[in-house]
Amino acid sequence: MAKRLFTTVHEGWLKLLFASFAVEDRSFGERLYDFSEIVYRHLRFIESVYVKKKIEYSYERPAIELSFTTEGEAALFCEEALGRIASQLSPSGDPLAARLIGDLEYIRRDLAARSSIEAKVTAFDKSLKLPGKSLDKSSLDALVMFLFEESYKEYELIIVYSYAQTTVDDKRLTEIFQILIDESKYHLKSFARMMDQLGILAVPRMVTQEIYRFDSLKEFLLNGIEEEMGAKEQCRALAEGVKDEELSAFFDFINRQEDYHIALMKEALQRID
Amino acid sequence: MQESELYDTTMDHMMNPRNYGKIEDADAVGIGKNPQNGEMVIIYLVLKEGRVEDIRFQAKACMTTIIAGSIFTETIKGATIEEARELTDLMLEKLEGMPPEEAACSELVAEAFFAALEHFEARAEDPTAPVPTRMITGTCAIEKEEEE
Repeated sequence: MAKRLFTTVHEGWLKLLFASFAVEDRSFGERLYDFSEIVYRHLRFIESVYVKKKIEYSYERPAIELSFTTEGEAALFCEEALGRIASQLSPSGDPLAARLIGDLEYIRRDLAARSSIEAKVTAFDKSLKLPGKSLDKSSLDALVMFLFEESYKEYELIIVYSYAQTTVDDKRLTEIFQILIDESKYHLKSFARMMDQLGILAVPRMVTQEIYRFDSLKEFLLNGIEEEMGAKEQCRALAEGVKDEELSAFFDFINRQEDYHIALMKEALQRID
Repeated sequence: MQESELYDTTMDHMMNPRNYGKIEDADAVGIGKNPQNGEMVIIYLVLKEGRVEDIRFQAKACMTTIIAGSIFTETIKGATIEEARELTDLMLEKLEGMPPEEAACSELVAEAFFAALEHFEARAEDPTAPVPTRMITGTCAIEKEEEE
């Protein structure tokens, strides 16, 4: 039961998150994004209870296919996902259960009211066109590959850092992991919005236990630094390779942000040494 | 298949990789690993009456490996073990003509599948037989670009 609730909330978060990237009406998109953040917090609230009570849970989950064709269907897709969470909760006097039930009731009502919106969703039409840009084939291929690789990587980092947070007591380490989670969320949002415009939006594959669980925090941080260096290199190569000034500047900006991530991870390493 | 159709199919596998995940009570498990960069593929098999009834894969690897795993598992699912073995041999034969860095991702998937078949045979003798790992020799193209 515990494992299933955690997985269902995880799926609910991702469904809202990716629906928020897919809809064209940006005020609706941002509202969905805020709702997805609430559900992510639910996931973390539940996780901290499980860790405290030593209840087993997993970040592994089934594949999620985004199949809606209108914004109304997107709202329903999310409403159904939240309905599956609600069906596993019952009012028990527990403040966390009451919070979850209250949030879900409000969000589901809001989503159900939008179920008749007929605006088309083009996030999965594989148009491979970025508005106002005309990229040559090699730039476009490099961009598409980068977005698939890095959207998975950013999702993986959110999961890995979320799990890592549960393994440390040190206040500064918890803070460092939180900064890294927030930064990865911004990167994921930026990449996924671009995938939406190209018509190739997809929920990344699941992150397996073998990847997000670790035996040694030190080794985890050392590998993390290496991965951040790899991400920097990918960004640098793309900024150079893509023949568009605006896109190059964006990937340089992401690349420079990775420098601070590396500094934070080195600080974390020093704290545990 | 026309180029645009091939592109569309590839994109489809990137957006929704088939058979990605784990099978908890698999009959056999195999690992394909690239010792040069740590990339790996794990194949899980359920075999019934000489057929691949279910197959899933997991990967710690680049997107090209995910595409290869998705197409491979979709093709193999439902085939007899013999057909699956022949198809995999054929795939490895085709890869022989390619530069090693381009072949590495598909080779990783093929070796993981062969390792899973080895595991199945070993378990018939000893149910506690360990999960075998088969190594590949090439480096994937993306890793190679990074090195350069």
